[in-house]
Amino acid sequence: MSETIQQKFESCEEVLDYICAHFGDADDSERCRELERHLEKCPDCKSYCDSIDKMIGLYRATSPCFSDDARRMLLDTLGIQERD
Amino acid sequence: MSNEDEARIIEKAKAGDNAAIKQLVDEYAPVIFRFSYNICRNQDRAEHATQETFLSILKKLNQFDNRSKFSTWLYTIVSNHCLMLARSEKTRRHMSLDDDENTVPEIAVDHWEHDPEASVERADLKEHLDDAIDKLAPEYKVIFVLRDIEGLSTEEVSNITNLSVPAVKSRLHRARAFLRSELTPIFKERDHE
Repeated sequence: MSETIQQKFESCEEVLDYICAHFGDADDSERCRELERHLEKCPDCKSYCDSIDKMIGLYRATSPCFSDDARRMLLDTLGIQERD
Repeated sequence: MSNEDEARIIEKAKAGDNAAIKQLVDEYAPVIFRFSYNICRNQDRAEHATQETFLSILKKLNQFDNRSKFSTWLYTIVSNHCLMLARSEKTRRHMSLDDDENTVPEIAVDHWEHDPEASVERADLKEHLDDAIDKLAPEYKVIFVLRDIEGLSTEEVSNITNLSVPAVKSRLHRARAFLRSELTPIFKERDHE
């Protein structure tokens, strides 16, 4: 049965708020180090954080590149020649 | 591209210099395409949205006054374009998420036992990712894509979407929790294999 972070840890609400605002930022602040310390001792927040990281990584990894054909079509649409 | 180079190219593009416009295409079309793709998760529609957005950008380029970053201005145009397209698709149904920015949603802490990174090659993975994000309302999708996939700051997302920072954080929190809950069954599969 799945439990919730809110039910288990009152202070995790603040942790989640911080993760929400700063996730992915390269942050060397005391607040960030505090978060890392929290994650080391809180398996639920760590699991949540890791899975969000993986989920975002998957969405990024499955984004295709803008193809050369699409670029040519776009330049055509804008009326621009390759040699311009 | 440095800020000075970009400003110079924009001024030339405003004057109708095709080489400058082509430089803007090469620099920003991939960004606009990636954003559009992650909103609609469809390559053809994303390419079409990129074309429409660039036409709009060139039409409005004289309105750009350097008060914001050029990329912020572009994201504002493409976000509005994608939201307008999504709202015109009246047949789609999206999950309703409580938009109260003062409450933190409950987060299920199911553990992802199966390493999703090893699943990138799975044939059905993209389908699951597409299905999950497709259920998300466009107003939430835009926030998730700008903040998490494009990597913009919460403040930049707030400027682009014209929402307060707490509203952005609330929507982002709900979008992540929703997508995670949609994808959790996929990454717990191995437990049952």
